[in-house]
Amino acid sequence: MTPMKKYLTEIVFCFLLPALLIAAVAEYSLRKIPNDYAFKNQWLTKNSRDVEVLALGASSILYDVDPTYFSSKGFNAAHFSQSLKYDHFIYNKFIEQMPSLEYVIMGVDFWTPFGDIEDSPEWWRVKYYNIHYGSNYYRWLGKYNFELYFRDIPTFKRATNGFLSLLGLKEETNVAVNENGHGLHYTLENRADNWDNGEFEAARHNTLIIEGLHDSLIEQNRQYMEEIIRKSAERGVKVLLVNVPLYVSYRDTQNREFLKQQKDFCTYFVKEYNNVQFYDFSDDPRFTEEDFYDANHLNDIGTRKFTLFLDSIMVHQSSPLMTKNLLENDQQF
Amino acid sequence: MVINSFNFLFFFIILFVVYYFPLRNNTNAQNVWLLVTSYVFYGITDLRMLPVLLISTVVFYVIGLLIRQSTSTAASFLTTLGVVAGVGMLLYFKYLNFFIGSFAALITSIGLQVNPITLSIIFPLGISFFTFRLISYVIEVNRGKIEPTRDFVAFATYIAFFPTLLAGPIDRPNDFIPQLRLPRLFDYDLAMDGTRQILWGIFKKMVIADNMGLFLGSVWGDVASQNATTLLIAALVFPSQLYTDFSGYSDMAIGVGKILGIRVAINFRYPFFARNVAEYWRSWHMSLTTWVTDYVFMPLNVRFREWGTTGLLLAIIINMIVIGIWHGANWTYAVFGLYHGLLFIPLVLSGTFARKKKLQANRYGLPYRSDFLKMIGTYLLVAFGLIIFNALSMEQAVVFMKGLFQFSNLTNFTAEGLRMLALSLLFMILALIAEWRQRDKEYALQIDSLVPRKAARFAIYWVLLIITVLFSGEEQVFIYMQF
Repeated sequence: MTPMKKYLTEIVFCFLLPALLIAAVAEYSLRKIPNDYAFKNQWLTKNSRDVEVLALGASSILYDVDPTYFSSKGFNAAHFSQSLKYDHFIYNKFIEQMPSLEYVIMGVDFWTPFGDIEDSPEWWRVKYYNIHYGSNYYRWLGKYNFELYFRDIPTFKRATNGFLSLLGLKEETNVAVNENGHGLHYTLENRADNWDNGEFEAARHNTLIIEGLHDSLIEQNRQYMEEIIRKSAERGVKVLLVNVPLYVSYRDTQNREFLKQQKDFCTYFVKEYNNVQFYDFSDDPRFTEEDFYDANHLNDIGTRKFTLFLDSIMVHQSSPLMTKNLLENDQQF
Repeated sequence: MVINSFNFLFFFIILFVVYYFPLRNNTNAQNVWLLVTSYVFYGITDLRMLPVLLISTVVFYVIGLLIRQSTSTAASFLTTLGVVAGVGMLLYFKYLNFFIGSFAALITSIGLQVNPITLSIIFPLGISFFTFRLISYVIEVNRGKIEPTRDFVAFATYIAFFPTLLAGPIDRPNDFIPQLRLPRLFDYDLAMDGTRQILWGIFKKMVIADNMGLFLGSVWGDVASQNATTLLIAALVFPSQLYTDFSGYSDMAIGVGKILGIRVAINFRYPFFARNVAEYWRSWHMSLTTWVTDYVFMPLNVRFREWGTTGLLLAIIINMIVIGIWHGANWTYAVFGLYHGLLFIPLVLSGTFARKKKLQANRYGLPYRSDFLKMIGTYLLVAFGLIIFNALSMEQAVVFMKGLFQFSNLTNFTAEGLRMLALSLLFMILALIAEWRQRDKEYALQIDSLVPRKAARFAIYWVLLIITVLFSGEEQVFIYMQF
């Protein structure tokens, strides 16, 4: 054997190939572990024809809206920190297969107009849209496409569990939503003793907005929202923009200027499109301490109450009053 | 493109295949290929500065040829011209804004109004390294140590050799250029040794230096609000980070060179086992210290010879200041150099300055207690000097040092930060144990005689590989790439 052949044989067969094989098996195993993204994509691919109410947004919608309580067939397609770009992507992917759709519920948190998951601490979730939903954003960037971008012990531990699941020796799942896409585990029973983290969370969101603030992003988000609304209007679908109930500590720490911009963002669409209504539940007195899981998410009791309010709005087609009131109260900001 | 990236791996695989397959029997073609790929490497890193590298290479190549054809006086003039051109390049690209700023500050301090114009000068990556190679070449040609090469490709390859272009080691023409004239057939042992050295370098950089870098970055990012404990830990950890970062890079560069059949200058020889500052500088960034010793210290020492010990001390102090300011245009580097120069005074006066005593292990295989204490003492002296080195300004260095005495019970560590720091310290200690055991070898992972069975050696490489994959920290830029 020539020296070169010997070297290449050793490097390739003793190191490179085993390493690649381990990496490939680990990546495959991780991808095969069921999670919320895979579940929701599969569910929508299979059942979108029946969906009458589609909820989109971030964790506030994921945990605060449980379509089980809707009178009509609903599905919650929200995910943690999902910004409008990915609401837009999911909507576009499935809208053609939703002939029964009547309502789209869009969560508009105070950071939504400025939100961009790719620039947030939750950027690592972007890969799930590429892997499971088949979005094609940043296909050349490993960090947005590979589970193994994080090569730490917990990841390899998960990969091992995933591999054992593939062999049928273990059952590993990361699905944490019910059959209608509503996030589980945020219950009163599970609520931490120091659940009121409102000041900290709102301050953190204020900082994140300031750090990522630029006009082009706001304009881009406006365009994503506008396209969802326009396409909905063309199909006779109504869009409810919803600001979820918030606990007083969170509400009081929110940056006033950002709140004003959030409101302007929503009222623009209410004024421009007939199929849009905006409901601000952020300081709704009907939600009390007992309804919250933490300062900006509801627990199971609050979620039931909130979902039923939304259902009532949809069923009774009421509420132009609420929208009107909101528009009239512009000066309060 | 950094040397520990996947981009570099792809780049190197292409280079390797062409170098050893179609070109394996053609040394000149291999040199051309090395030169082209080195320029591509530099161009990818910073295309704007490629002309500076090209033009300076041509100019020094011509100067080298002219020196050989000239009379002694003319040769000296041409050499001086070359040195001035090299130093001038450094002054312009690295130091001009610093001089303008310092001059303006001086004028302002005597009460005059001044509005300094700072120039928008691009800092060329690797300039400190390739300029020193250029200067070294003309001096060596003038001294008659080497013949000026007529082979422009070989000369240009020496200047721009990609593994060492951005952060050294600073090769000497006498050692490097002759290698380019020899046929370079694939050498299994050398290539395997190089591959292993790359693995050791990657481990040091990604597992130790990068994890320490996360902690140190947060401390140095806000020195004023840190407490004494945090600052003390930062001061003690920084020498280890700097060592593993820089020696890690050097190991990778040397390893890449070995795979290509080229021996690159050694840059470190276990500096933390130094028992005094003189030993430390003989084992730290050796390619720079030997360069400055040959071209600054030796001539000064000869010139100051008549002054005896005072002359020697003066030469050493100037030498150390030059090493300091080589790093950049900042008073901190000058003070860092001066500090180390002053540390030589007791060594010179006691006569231990040039003494080379081999490190011995006691019957347990450990260093003798007196040696060990001296090593600790040297580490502490180095750590103190590196506070000045790492500070953005002398003011920040003073804030840091004052902070060392501001005691409070508060700690600024997050649980994650503490975990990463503890982990990197653990691996640093393991690396130091390995280095102590292997101190007679070029690097710690050169374990052929220690572990004769190939399968066992491969198992050790695998363990190191797995540790690197699992525990590598968030990627940090190589510290010496900024110089």
